[in-house]
Parts: sequence; C-alpha cells; structure tokens
Amino acid sequence: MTSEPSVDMQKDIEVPVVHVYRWDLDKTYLQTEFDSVRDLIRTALQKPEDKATVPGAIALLREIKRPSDDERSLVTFISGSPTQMRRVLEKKFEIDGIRPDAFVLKPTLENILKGRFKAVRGQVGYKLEALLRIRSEGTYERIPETLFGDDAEQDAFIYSVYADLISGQLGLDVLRDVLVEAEVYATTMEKIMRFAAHLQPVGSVDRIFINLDRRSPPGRFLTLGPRIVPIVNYFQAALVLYADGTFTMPSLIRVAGGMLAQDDYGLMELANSFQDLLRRRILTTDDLERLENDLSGGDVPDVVPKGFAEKLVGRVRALAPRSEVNAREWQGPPNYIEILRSDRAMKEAVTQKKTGLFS
Amino acid sequence: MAERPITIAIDAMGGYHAPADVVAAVAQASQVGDESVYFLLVGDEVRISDALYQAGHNPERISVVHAGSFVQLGEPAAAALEQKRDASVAMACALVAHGDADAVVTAGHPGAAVLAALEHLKMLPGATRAALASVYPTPRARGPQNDRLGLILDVGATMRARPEDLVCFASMGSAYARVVKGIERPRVALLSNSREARVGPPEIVAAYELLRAHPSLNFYGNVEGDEIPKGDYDVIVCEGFVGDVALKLLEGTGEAAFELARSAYERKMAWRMGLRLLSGGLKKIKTATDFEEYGGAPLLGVDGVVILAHPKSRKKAVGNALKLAIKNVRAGLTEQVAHALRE
Repeated sequence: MTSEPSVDMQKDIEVPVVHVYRWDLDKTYLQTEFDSVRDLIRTALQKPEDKATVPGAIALLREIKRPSDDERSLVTFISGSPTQMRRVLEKKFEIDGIRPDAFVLKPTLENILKGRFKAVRGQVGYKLEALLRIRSEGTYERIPETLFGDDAEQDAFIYSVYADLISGQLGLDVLRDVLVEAEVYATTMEKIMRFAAHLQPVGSVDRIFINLDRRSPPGRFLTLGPRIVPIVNYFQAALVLYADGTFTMPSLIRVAGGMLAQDDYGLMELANSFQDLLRRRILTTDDLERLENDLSGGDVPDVVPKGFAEKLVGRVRALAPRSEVNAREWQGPPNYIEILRSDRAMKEAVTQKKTGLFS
Repeated sequence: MAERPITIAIDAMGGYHAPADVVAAVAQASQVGDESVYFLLVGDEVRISDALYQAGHNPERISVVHAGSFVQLGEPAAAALEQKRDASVAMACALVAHGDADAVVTAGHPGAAVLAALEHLKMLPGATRAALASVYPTPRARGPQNDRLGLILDVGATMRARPEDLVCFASMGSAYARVVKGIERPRVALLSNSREARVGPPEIVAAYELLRAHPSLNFYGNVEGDEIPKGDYDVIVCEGFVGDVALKLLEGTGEAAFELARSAYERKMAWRMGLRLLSGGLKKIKTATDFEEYGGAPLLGVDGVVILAHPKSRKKAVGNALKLAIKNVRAGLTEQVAHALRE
C-alpha cells in the first residue's frame, strides 16, 4: 500500500532522480519502544507530536530531500507498524517536514484475521516483498540505492538479500531456500519469487546503514559484508555519504547543525562518532583531509557556531588512528541460510545454567 | 540541571586481563548511567579498536588515544617508565595533567601507576606524600549511606612514612571519608602494635602526638591489627609497607575462609546441607569481601583523581573502578583533599 503522490510532488517529476533511499521506520527513524506489551500500547496511543526521532534522522532526511533544480532523491519508508497507524505517522512526517515518496505499512490486522501469526512478528517475507514491489512499480532500476534499518529486527539480513537480488548476485534457487528457512508463508513466497523473476539485474545498493538501537557489537554485521555500516547516529551516516561523494560538505555540516540544535549533541559526541568510523576503517584519514580542504576552501553553512567545524576536525585529527591497518577482511558472499540458522541457534541458547557458591 | 561533563582516561593496557576486560568494562559503562561522562581509552589503538568492534558500546562517549607501549606487570616500574615514555599509564596521567581528562583509572602495574601519577601530576599544597587509600569490608555500618566499608591508607604508594606524612594521610583519609562516604566527623586511628601512645616505633609515637594535637582531626588513638576488621574506626592510618601487608592479609583471610568452607562442603553430607542452607548469607559475605565489588583505591595527595584497580581486575572490577572515579570527580575529591590539607 503506497501513498498517492501529493500535488507538490508533481512539480518534482521533471527533475531527474539520482538516488533512492529506503528507510525502515521504528528504531530507524522513530525512537520506538516495543520490547514489552506496555511499550506496544503506549506506542500505539502516542500522539504524533510526542513521537521522538532518532538523533539526526530529521536533519539527514531534510538534506536528502533538499530541493534542487538539477537532481532529486526518492525516499521510501517500509514500516513494520500496522496500517492503522498511517494517519498518526503521516502527521508525524508532516510535523518533521519530511515528505516520503512512498510509505508502506504492515497489514497486521489482516494477518491476524487470516491466522497468519508468524507473519505478524516475522519481517523477512513482508519487507522483502514490499521492497521488491516498490522497486517494480518505479522506473529507476539503474539508480543507486541506500538503505536504512536497525539492529532490533532483521533489517541487515533482509536488505542484504535485496541488494544481492537486484544486482543479480543471488539466484532464484538460493532465494527460495532462504525464504523457506525464514519460514515465509507460501503466498508471500510466491509473490517474492514472481517479483524476483522479473528483476533486471542492474541495480546496486551502495550502503546499508544499520542504526545500533540495541547497541549490538558492530562486528556482528561483518558476515553480511562491508556495505553494511553500523551507526549510532545520523551524523555518522552523513559522514559516510560525504566520503562516498553522495553528500557535499554543506550537507554534512547542516546535518551536524541539526543535531546540535535539535538533538542536544555537542562537539565531543560528534568528534567521537567521527573517530569511531576511522577506527572501524569505514572512513580513512584521506576523507578527513578532504573535509579539512573543503572547509578551508568552501562556504561553511552558518548552522553551526563559528569555528565549530574546524574545531571538530581538529579534535578528530588529534585522535585519528596512527596505525595503518587495512579494512577488515570479509569472506563473502554471505551464506544466508547459515546466518539464519545461527541467529536462530543463538536465540534458543539464552538459558544458562546457574552455578552455586561451591560448585 | 545537566551535570558538568567529565572525562575519564583509562589505561586500556593495564592488568592481567587487559585490554579485553578493560575495554569491555568501558564499553558497558558507555551504554549506561550518566550521559555526561566520556571515556578516553589509552593504549594500543588496533587492539582497543578490535575489542570495541566485538563489544556493544556507545562510541559517542568513547575515544581512543594511541599509546605506543605499556608497562608490564613484572617490570621494574621506574626503569620501565624511563624507557617507555609513551607508556599507556603515563599518557593517561598526562591527559589529566593537561586538562584533557578529569581522572585516571588503571589496573596496571601499581608501582608504575603511582610513579606516573607523581611524575605528571603536581602534589597538592600541604601534601608531604601521596597515599593509596583502600576500602575494606567491616561489620559496622557508618555514615548516611550505611556504608560497611572502612578506609585504610597508605596501602603501598610509598614504603615508609615520617610522622608528618602520617598526619597528612590522616587529613586526606578524613577528607575522603567525608566527601565520598558522607561521614561528617570520620573517626581516625593510627595503626600500631599497641594501644599505648608511648609504645611502638619512634615515628608512630611522634605521629600519635601530632595527630592528638591536630585541631581538625577526630583522632581516637592507636589501634592494633585485630581492630582493623572490626571497623570501629572510619580511617586507619599507617605507612605503605604495613598497609599493603595488612590489606593483603585481609584479602587472604577471606579467601582462606571460603576455601575451608569449600573443603567442608565436599567432605560430609551434613556439612554440605548446612552450607546449602547458609548459602544465601555466605554469598552476601562473599560479595562483601570481594575486591571486584570495590573497584579500586584512590591515590590521594596528587592534583587529580587517580584510581588504581587490582591488577587481577576483570570487567566487573574495572567497571566499579570507573564508577568510583566518576563519584570522586563529581564529589570534588581533589579540591576537598586540598582544602583539608590547608586546615
């Protein structure tokens, strides 16, 4: 279910699309709690104005959607929230000044009524089908995509499968095995297989950003490959997009400015976030140097205090890694079946035997 | 009102279980508690980064400062620090000296930690010597927090102490008990081999007279070794050599008691059942006597908060040392000790 394009959006249609951003909603854009029944009820009853966003998410999305005469980006949201939440969530987007190009919600009530209880909690079938369906509805097969998810569910896994599918690196046979292993319902599986069969293998996913809402170890995602970038705030995402050439220096500074103004961030948090990416070898000192050059040669937006950006870079420079270490080695491609099985085994192995004082 | 941001420098390479357990403790601390606390991990950047990569943490509150070397536990401290100018413990102390951090936590070589602190941090005016202050469990609850921990100093910052050093230790220990434990007038005692004022080595006899005449100390007199664990006094003062021996004796006695209980448990069915019935209480005693629960010993007398954790510290002990460092910084320990020394 996608939203109809608004009248304002029609104006954009002439401007070429250069990038597609696909977002999850809960714990990726919104700071949603759903770990207990009480959390679920509170979230369901929450007013749009009371819903909090993940630090930097609004600033980053505003930069992504910043109007330009030459190019534009598409933003789609695929959420695990039920369709009944649409009005509240759309109001929240309106308050934040964000206008998604598509917004998909989960048919939870329909799943319950049909007795498809595994689909109520499961995300693999729902999200993969939604991603492929939206892609099939557009005409942007060759446009690079960037995906945003979190570590609470299986976003990293689902996005990786999607990325390998649209680039032709995952065959239909393996896909079917993955869907069987993920216990996807047969009807959903058929839809996914149908979409996958009609894919032109010309797509590419540059980056998959995973917001570490649960503070998972970043190393947990290495099995899925280096395109997965675990982050703790959207300044980190903006830095990577800047390093990739997708964002300009002013865009990066505006995201930092948004976080200073709206999210109560300071120099320490931003500098440490920058250093974290250098430590993980996602960024290099070349990226830091490029930013230094851009700052000295370009107009720094006045959304941050005077001299702030230079101070930030100075602090990162002072703490930049001194050792020359290459990026972490990855033995790809991912074995999706094995990943699903080990995830399941890990969940099952939560009970630990208590040891006594003397035994 | 938001609290003042503070930064703790951690010697990531210090201790038998470094850097893994030290980094794990910092990783955990970064996810909980006071959000205005930041951590500077000092040590081998690659090893620290690898450990962080495998641990859930909040990188917004952690940064890493590379140190090219570290002092190993078996090394002669002074020579090692002389040779390794970029040792992690020295760099961590330098960060405090330069105002980049508010406190140092190390589980590394205790001698090297004391020497590094003395090299980089100034002595507080009036402090004749620095002292390591350690808490130990006692049966008596004290202060508004019903704290069952006594304080003993010096436990090894220096070997010998002059009478005026012991008075300095008493002032610093009192300030610590007042600031950190909230005891208004801490009871101070001098460790000796007799309760008699005129018995004992000359420096103890002289120290007794100085302490008795001190206007701002609540001095109770001399105590013998058997009174340390009873906990009738809040601060026990002694020279470093004696304090170190006394503290290790306390630790060893606790461990030996549990060894005895363990062997009894294995020997007779009746004893086993009895110990099982008592296991809840014994666990509490074990927790109360476990050094991991207290985290570390503050080095008093220097211009900065320095916490020395046990070299055997695992993640939990390092985590408690971090908590202690935060508490000491928040309480303005250095300023309060300086104030006490001025009186």
